[in-house]
Amino acid sequence: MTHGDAFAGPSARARSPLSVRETLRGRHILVTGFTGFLGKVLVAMLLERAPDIGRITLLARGKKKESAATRVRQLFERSPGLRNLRELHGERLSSFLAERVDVVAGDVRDPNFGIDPRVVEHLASSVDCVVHVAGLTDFEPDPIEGVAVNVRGAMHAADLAARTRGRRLLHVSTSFVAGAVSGPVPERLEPGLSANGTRFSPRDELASMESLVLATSRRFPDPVEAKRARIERGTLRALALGWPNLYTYSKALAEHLVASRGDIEVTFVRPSIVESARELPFSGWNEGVNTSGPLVWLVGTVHRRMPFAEDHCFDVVPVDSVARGTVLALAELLRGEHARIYQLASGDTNPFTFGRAVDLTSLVRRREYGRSSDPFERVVLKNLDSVVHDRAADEDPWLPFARKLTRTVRDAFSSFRAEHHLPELVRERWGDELTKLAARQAKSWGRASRTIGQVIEMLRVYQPFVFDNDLRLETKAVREATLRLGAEERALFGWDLASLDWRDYWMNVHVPGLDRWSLPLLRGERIPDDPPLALERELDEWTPSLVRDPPREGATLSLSTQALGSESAPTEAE
Amino acid sequence: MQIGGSPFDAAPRAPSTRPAAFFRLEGVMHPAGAWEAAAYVAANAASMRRRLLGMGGAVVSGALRGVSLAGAGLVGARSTRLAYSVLAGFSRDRLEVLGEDYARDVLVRGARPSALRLVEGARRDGFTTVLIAEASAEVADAFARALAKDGPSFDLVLANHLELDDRGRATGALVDPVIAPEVDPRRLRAIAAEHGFDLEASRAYGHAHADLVLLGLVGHPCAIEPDRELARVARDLDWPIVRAEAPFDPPTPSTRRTHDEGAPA
Repeated sequence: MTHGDAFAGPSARARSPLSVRETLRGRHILVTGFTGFLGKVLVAMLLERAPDIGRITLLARGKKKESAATRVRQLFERSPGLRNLRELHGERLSSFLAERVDVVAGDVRDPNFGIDPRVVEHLASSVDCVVHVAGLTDFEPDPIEGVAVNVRGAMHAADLAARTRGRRLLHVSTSFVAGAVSGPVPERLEPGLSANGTRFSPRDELASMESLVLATSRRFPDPVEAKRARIERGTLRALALGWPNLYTYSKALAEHLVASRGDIEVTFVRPSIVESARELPFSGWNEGVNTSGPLVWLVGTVHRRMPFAEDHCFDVVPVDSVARGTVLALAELLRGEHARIYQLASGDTNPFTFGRAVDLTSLVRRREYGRSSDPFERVVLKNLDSVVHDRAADEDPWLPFARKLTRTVRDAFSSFRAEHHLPELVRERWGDELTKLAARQAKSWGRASRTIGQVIEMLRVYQPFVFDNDLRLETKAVREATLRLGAEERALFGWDLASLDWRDYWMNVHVPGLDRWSLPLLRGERIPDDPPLALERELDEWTPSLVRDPPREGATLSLSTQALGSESAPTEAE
Repeated sequence: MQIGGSPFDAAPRAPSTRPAAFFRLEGVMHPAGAWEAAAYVAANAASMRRRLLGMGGAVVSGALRGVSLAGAGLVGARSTRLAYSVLAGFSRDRLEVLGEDYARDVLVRGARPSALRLVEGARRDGFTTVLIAEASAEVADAFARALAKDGPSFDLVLANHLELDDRGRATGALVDPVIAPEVDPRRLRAIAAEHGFDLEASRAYGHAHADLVLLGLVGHPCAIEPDRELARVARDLDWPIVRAEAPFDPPTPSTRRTHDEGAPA
């Protein structure tokens, strides 16, 4: 087992062969965050490429009308993120899943994830590793949620892992816990040393943040005002310790708290900016609005001057590459040959810059707009390539001016009254039409003003990542793990970013992926699911009624179909 | 793609070498000149200032070339260098993507059918097909790739390379040796030696009088849509001439002289 800053004996570790499939064979892992972007791809990869894995228990929240198992089943039936499994197994997917996947209802915000103690007892007797993927990824979450999910959630995962047979935790964090720094970022964590070098007690920091949140909530009776104040004060606290926002602060605090535990083996997986898949579940798949989505959207608008630092690293990683790195880390953790930290980033071997991202996005849009039937797009937008401004967003006067202008125009249209502004002759003839036209224009300019306001806000939030800091994240651990793999497994699980052709990925995979899967969300549209492939039966769900008998020590537990069907206790198997 | 023939007899081949068929991109495969490719790319710069400067520079280059054709002595590499100097500051990505766009939207669409048939014919006759472009490699390679999708393909592409700085941006200079309107005979001989081409058994296709050097190096020259000067020389030297106005028939040995013109003046 290793506890060093990086890992013990890297060269020796790199030399010894590793088989991911052999390591995962028969193992039982508990995964949180399956309903999220990375969670789906990770599980899809494990089930497709390591089908001999013993069992995957998925933690999911039940909703009022839907049990956790129902929610998970629906994802397997129709989520594009799991399309590869439906295509691979077809009608046999149900039986394939029944042998490998079950569900436990719970919430990471609660101790032991809110799982019934009897279920925990049974699960704990067979789980080899807790893989904690769940987390909030908003840059500015309400600290109440940010702390509950990202900090307390990680602590709960560690508590649960400490009770399991394997006593192992793989915690998915973020590379940006490095904080507001520039330059090389090694795979290192020193508990109690903040991003700007301040010594602090992680436990005291958590307590003071929770007190701050509580005190702020009490002080402001208006919920909206209270939330804003919580974010402001929480952000100040984060900045004081060298983290640029509440997201990185909460993820870092979680790392510091979990790393100081001595009763479990922990490894931290730190992806950078997780974006569209290269190949799994299929090329271009994305979910939700991730970091680059709004930036790509902005490049396609009339706004030309992007307040980015041209040569700063835009550390994007395809989601399936992150899944590869996570599976590698999991395999090494299960063998007790793990690194403490696996940074999953592109900057050290194949850097991509904001200048390139803007240029390539403009080139994609130029081609699209050139084919458009809309003359505005074909003539104006096509020729409005975005350029990197190399200036911070808060120094750019254009957007505030545009916002002020659109507001003024909106107000002018809003204040239009036919009886005041039109002579009687005109009013009688066109008064109604002109009033309606003014109302429509007021609405339209109001929308434009709001959009500009959102862009200003977005650029403010993004500024630490797109302008202020230039992180060069080292990825030694995952590259060394890759060297341990044989040729066949390297193709399936190896870290593959050095070979990524950014132009091809950005123009033919990522931006089209965002256009299909993410950007419609910014317009308030819904992303359609795949045509469902109905599973024959519900997935197994751990419930107290099924685990009446205490587990035998050292036994491997599985929920058998028969046991579930008869509502009896799960069977135990060696 | 319609497959045409060759205006040549089957050429005798040296046992250790192979014959090549050299096609100029500018003028032969497509009427547009190299400065037009540079102007297209410049006109699609990201910044407006660069667009205006670039287009202006490319047009000046085109005008100078016109002057040179009138005998001012600028047919060498200088006009080519000038045309591509306007692309200073362009990223490699933009050069490649715009090169693809230009090749697909302009060159392939407007490629001379007669030239395409000649490429097909040369391949069928066992010649190594070589594209010689004064345009940048980004344009010439993209043109060759686009053609190869559903048409004739080139075995070798010789084009100019823009010098890039360590950030992947064009400096505005071309990497030596530059392919000028007039091909450097020593360089062509060196390339022929490197690839084992038998120049005496090879074919070359030219369009302008600047191509006379190229045509003079091979055993089987041919003029495609020649300008007045080249047409005159071709007639004098009994070279085949291909014109698009007239229907193009696959040649036979007896039609070696010309397809659509009468006896040389």
